Amino acid sequence: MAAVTLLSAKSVSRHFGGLKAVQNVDFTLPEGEIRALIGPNGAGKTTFVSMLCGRIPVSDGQITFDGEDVTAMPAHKRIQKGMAYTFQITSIFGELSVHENVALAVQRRLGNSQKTLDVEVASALARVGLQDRAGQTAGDLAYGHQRLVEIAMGLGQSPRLLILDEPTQGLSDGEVAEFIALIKDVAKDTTILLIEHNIDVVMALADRITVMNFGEIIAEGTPQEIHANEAVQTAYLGG
Amino acid sequence: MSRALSFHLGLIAVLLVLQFVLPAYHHGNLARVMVLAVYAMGYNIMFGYTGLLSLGHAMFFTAGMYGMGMSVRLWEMPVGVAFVLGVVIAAVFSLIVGLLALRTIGVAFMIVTLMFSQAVFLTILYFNPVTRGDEGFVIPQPVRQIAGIDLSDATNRYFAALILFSVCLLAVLALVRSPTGRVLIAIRENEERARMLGYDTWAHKLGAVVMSGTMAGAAGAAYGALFGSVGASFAEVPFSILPLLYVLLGGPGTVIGPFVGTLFMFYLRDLSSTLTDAHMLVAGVVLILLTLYARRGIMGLIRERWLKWLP
Amino acid sequence: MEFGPHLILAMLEGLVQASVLTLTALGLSLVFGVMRVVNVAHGEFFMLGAVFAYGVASWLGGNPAVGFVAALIIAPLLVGVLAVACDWLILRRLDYDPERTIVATIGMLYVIQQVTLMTYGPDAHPVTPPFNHRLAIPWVAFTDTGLEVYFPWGLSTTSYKLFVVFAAIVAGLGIWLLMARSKLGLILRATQLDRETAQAFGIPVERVYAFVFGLGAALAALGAVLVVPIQQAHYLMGGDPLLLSFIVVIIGGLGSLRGTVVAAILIGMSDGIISVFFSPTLAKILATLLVAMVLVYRPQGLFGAKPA
Repeated sequence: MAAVTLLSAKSVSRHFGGLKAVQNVDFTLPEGEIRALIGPNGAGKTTFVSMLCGRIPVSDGQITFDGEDVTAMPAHKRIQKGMAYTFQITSIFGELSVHENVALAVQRRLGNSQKTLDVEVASALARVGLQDRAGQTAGDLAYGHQRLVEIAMGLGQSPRLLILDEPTQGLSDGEVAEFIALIKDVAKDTTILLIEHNIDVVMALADRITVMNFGEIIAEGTPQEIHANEAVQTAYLGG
Repeated sequence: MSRALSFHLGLIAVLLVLQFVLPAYHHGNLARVMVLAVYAMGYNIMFGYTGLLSLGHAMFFTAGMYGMGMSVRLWEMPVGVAFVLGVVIAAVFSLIVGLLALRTIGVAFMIVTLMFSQAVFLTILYFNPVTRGDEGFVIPQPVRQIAGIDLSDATNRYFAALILFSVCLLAVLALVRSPTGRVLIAIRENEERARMLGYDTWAHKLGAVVMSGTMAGAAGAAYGALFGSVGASFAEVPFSILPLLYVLLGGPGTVIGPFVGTLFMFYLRDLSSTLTDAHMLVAGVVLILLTLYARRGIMGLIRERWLKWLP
Repeated sequence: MEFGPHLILAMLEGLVQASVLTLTALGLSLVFGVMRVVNVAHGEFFMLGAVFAYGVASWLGGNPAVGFVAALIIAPLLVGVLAVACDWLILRRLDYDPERTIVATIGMLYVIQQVTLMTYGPDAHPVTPPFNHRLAIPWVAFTDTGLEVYFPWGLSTTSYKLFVVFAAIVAGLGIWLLMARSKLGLILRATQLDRETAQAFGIPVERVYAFVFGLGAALAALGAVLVVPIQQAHYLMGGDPLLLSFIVVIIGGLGSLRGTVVAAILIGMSDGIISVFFSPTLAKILATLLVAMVLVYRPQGLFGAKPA
């Protein structure tokens, strides 16, 4: 069955004054895939992804989501179209309870009925294993659990595309293993784009990997292909 | 009926009973407090719930007050119609201010609101021949009637204030427990996150400004209609600081907090004015103490410790 | 008076106002630039300068020149110390959080203002200038015999007003020397640029902040001491300088001292001119709307850094 392209970027660039953070990137993400975006620090990964979800505007180029040109669309509209984004540095509503955090993610979809809301929130929390902490203040949780709240918020939106920005950073090994299992489950009905530094996670999850360095894509392929790719090895080892 | 609803209806019932029981001095005070509390509740929508600190709220109060007052004085409209007109003018004005001011954030937003408010005050003074700004003018007693009910009568005045207060109190309660209210709180807590959950944060903030300004304008128009005085002093900076003070003291982000804060400060100033002319001194000291030690205010503290369900 | 001389008179008055405004606004600009704090009580520090000047001058009595010189030194010093106390006791404990600081400085405004009302009273009191000679200013006119120089009636200034301009220039140069050429200035500029790095370099940031807050207040007080022989000392006199300083600092660009000076001259002069030819109220309306629009459409002002 031919894969439908869910998200694509054509000739996308971003400069800050004289600095070219992202240069002329072409990128295609088919629906149903788990794609990992890797590269050394400062490669432009977060900048690129921020342009995809609309947090920052492009300097040049075009972004298409689900067949629609979203280049000029503000972030909140893109989210409404079915993107979900989790932040690199955990950004949740620290003073609100875990339940309220996820409820905010869900209510846009479901609106008013309190009962439906509660059911959806409970199901999202159960998937990440936080159902027992629903009443706790989110800011009081351990860092790893706060990251899970963020993922639950992503899940609560029932998105077409879930963008995860370094989701396993700060998690313990056990938590990382649970995360891998969770994403494999989520990927059954959601397309995943994952920025990651943890190569084990990348190898375990990704269907395909895109490698960036100095604002450009230097390689793209299956995990095996990337593993063997010399340019990638150079980039990481600084040869 | 939910606990929250019965709590707030209970407050309204208490105020209703007090009408028959209070001696004249406190009776008049409470009517005034209720109208000022509506002003503070309006401010709370913007500040307590959405996190927008405006330093110029007096301009919305005055927009309503002058909208009503000028309609009566210049075009001899009946007070009831003039009141509605005052509210409409305040609503439109807050929309315009919101469209401009929301292009800024944080400190710049505070200064922009302060500047707009100063401009309104100075404009009222500048057009003094028309507005009689610096002395203010009085709406004569015979004029202050709605459908034959004399508003200057203490009992009628109290009921009018109570009706306005109750409507606004229940409206705020409904807003705060609605999905829209929850989004406003989300914007206050973490605007970027709210945006990345798919909410149009700018539109929500604009809505908050308009609701807030309209409520303040309603308070202003009511104040003029019920107590008969209209003047530029209500557009000055201290009058913009008062709702901030009332809300901080009573509890920002609580529905009943603004009323508690208004009541408390009103009587505190009343008491202190027997000691000294410098009644804003108390306001200053309370502000410093609040921001240092008690940012949640009275009802905020009560909610945290004992009544966790209080909206 | 004809237009020409009238304009010169307005410009001279504007120049005096601009001089005082430059000092006051520099104080506010320093505080905002280094500490990122909006001090709403700044106008009250100005007022205290005037009130303390009156206090010092009347306590010393005798020769107005002696009283004035003493006031020139003592009043800014006292106000500076008071400001340092405010920072140490209140603002430091708020960790300079922008919203809480504004609320706290609003509280400070009312406390200072009302205590002054309670002690100094609601009346305005004058301070005698140390010297005050009327200086007539010549103007030219076209007559039948060609260009003729004459002294229009009413076109004059005083030696004291010229002194105010001179003193403001000297003080302004002093601040510039301090900021650009001294070690202390280097510390201040470093703290302004990057608080955390400055701390890593061993700069006692909290003490720097206290010093800056005191210096900012002292500058405002200095401006007030200079102006009080022309105006009188009154407990409400802080309102206008506060508003104008805000306007200057925002239009000049927050954090740019050069912008502050340029904007102070522009605004002081135009405020003076519009006030003379039209009305002071109109001048203020235009100024407040100008500030609001600058913040909305060009927040970096004239010289400030463009926000990211």
